[in-house]
Amino acid sequence: MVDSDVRERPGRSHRGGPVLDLVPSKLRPPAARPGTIRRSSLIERLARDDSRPIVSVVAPAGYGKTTLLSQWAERNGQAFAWVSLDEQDNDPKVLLTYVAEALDAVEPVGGRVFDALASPVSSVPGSVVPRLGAAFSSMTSPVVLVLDDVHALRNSECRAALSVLADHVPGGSRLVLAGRDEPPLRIARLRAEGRITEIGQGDLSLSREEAAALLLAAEVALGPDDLTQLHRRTEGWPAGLYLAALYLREGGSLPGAAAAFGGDDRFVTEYLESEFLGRISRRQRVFLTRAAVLERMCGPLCEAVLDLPGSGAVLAELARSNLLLVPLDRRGEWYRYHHLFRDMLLAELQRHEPGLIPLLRCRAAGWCLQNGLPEEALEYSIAAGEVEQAARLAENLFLPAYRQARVTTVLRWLRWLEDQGGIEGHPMVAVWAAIVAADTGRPVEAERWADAVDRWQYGDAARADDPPAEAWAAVLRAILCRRGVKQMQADAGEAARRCAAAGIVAPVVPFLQGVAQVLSGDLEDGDASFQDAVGLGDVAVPEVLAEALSERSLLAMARGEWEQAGALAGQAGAVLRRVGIENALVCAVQARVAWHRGDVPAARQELISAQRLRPLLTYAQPQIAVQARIELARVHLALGDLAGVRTLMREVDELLNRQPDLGTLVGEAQALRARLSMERSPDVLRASSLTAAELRLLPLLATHLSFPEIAAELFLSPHTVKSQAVSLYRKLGVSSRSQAIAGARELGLLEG
Amino acid sequence: MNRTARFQDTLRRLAMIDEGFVQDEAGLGLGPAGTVALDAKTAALLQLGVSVAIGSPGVCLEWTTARALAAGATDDEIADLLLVIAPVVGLSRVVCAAPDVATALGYDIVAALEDPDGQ
Repeated sequence: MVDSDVRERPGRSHRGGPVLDLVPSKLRPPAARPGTIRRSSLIERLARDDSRPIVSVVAPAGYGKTTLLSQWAERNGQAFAWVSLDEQDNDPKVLLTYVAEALDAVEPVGGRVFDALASPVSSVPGSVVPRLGAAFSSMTSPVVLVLDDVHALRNSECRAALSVLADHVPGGSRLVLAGRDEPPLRIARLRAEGRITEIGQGDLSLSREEAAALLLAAEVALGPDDLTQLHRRTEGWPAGLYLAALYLREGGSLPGAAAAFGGDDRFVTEYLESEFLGRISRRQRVFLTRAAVLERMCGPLCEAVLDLPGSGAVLAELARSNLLLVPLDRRGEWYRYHHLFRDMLLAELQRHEPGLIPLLRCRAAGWCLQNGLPEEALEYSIAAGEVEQAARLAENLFLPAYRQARVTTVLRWLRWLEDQGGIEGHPMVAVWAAIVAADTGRPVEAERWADAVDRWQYGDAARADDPPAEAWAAVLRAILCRRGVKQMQADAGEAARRCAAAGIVAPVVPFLQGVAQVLSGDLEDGDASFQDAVGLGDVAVPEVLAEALSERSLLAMARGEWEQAGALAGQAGAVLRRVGIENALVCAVQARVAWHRGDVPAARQELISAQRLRPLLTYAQPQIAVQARIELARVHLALGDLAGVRTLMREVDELLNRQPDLGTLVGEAQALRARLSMERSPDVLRASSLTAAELRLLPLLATHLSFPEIAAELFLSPHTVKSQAVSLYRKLGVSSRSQAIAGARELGLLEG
Repeated sequence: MNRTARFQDTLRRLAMIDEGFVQDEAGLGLGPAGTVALDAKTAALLQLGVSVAIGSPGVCLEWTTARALAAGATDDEIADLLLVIAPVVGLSRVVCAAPDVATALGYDIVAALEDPDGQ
């Protein structure tokens, strides 16, 4: 329902490609560089052991996990699909887009995967993961899918998705998860089934010979006893040995090196502080520590942030002379620190110049903004605590990010802003948040954000005018319909006036006007408004276009013009199919049209689709929620499915209880209820009696999350989840979770 | 896939009230009673009332409530049922049953009592 005049970013279209701007360096293994030693025996072990589809590489920082895997990738052999994970991948749509893209480069995964990824309302466990899993398991060319730095993933949907993907590794392929702690897999089970190869700290520690090779590559020669001592002290920790080598190369003594490089990080950081940084030039020292605030760096960025001309040269020099910097592209333009060293340098900076850190980040934000990297600017602003700047950026970035389906990301920005009190001066942010929450079936959040908008609008009489925000606030009020149909009509009218005055073209406005008119009994004007919405075709968001066509179809049905109704419903369906998304109202209308032409299987199919989508239609959009359910109930009734009718009417009653002033819908509901009460026969518990709450639970049952974990996801008590699950099993006629998933898939309630 | 033993299947399906199982294996006919005088909804409400009265466990109450809904009873009718039978079965039976009946109606009483914004 969201629309604006902001241009969409260029990129591949939904069908057959990702919509996100991908960072290419994340999809390439880091190039092997001189100075790293070959882990031949480990690589042979990995290459040989390919009966086990899962590989887990777990070790603390600095053990050479990435190096090992990139060396394996370079060895001639299978195709590798690589994703380097970071903080941004805590949005499941982002993570899975990268995974899909990485696999797609080896063998096309198909448009349906990217369709699901591109939709802001599609369910990750319900749609995205099953499609991606199916695509993965049907790949014919063997592939090694590597996900590096898995410990960066804290989001539970992301972690759950990886666990399910592990069940879909096709024969001959591998899934490799590397990180600092245990990957989010059912390790015990995989071990018992002999399906996992585990490489750990012990495997990655360097042997004495390997330690010698590393020192040699770093241009340090040690006698055998000294080597033994150093090796023992560092316990074969590659990073420790490497730092020791640097220290020795800079003229340090062996006893000092051995003392400083125990496997204990604490000593290493003290070493950094007192010795290594003390031995290099001041210029280099300032550069190294201050640049640690940057996620990734290039010459011009460093110059701007560090106020150090010639940073480009310093960067190149550092990259050439040691392994602290990892190149991110082949042109030598962008680099990042090795994670371990960044952590250490940042700690160093924190100790000595803490007050400088926000300033450096601000400068980074400024440079990114001026150089066409607004999202990075936003992330730096958030890190720097610059609320105003972040809020301004978020206002502009919100919509494009939402249109790329990155709901988790935008909500993270918004919640941070809310915590920092940044919403008050930036109402557009709150308006978008409310609309997104309403669209994604989160009514409590929608109301909370709407209250924030109200507070801004009516709280301070002396506040500055903000015509676009005021226009969209009116749109929001019309969507939420918190004060009934008459008020909705007034709000929609106000929205129309304000949008016209502010030069905003948004089809959702005539659409909402149409809905209000129809609910007030004004069918002709309503139809005209819907036609206006449809007429804004080029600007339209597909959902609004499809819903407007569906409403017109319903009006045609009411007039008895079934051919016209069928044509309009067909157009609505085509609009959605073009972008690969679904909508409950459109399903309802198509179900009615299918029933009317006698196509029972098609009608049933649409009812099933609508069932999947029903949890999204909440009291945050009461008019559409009630309307869609009434239309669905009509078809269920025609099919003799009383259980379905009763379930839907209960939900209608609940919605009308909360918002009784919904115009003509009230009468329609009453008529249906009266018709229903004439049915004397009971109906058994069956799939169509699944409540919205149970339908919301169903996709999560398809993950490997336990009931308490699911309860945490849904903000319910574990007892409630257990009762809902049992009720769900019963209605599907099964007695276990796996049977429930299989049954739901067979019925079409779950994909996969 | 774990193969469950027959006794495990039996116990699990009884514990969750797998309708098909209960009818086929336990020989408990769950179909309409074939009476003409009482309609299906009344019959279902009566079954719920008796379930409460004999102190059935939570799963039974949830199940009977769901069946009452499927037979066309409304949330209000089900709640009123508890009030109506209270004088006969006593307070403790009704109080015991209320949370499980509520769960089947989609209302988490414990959460509601805990909710700082609750009514």
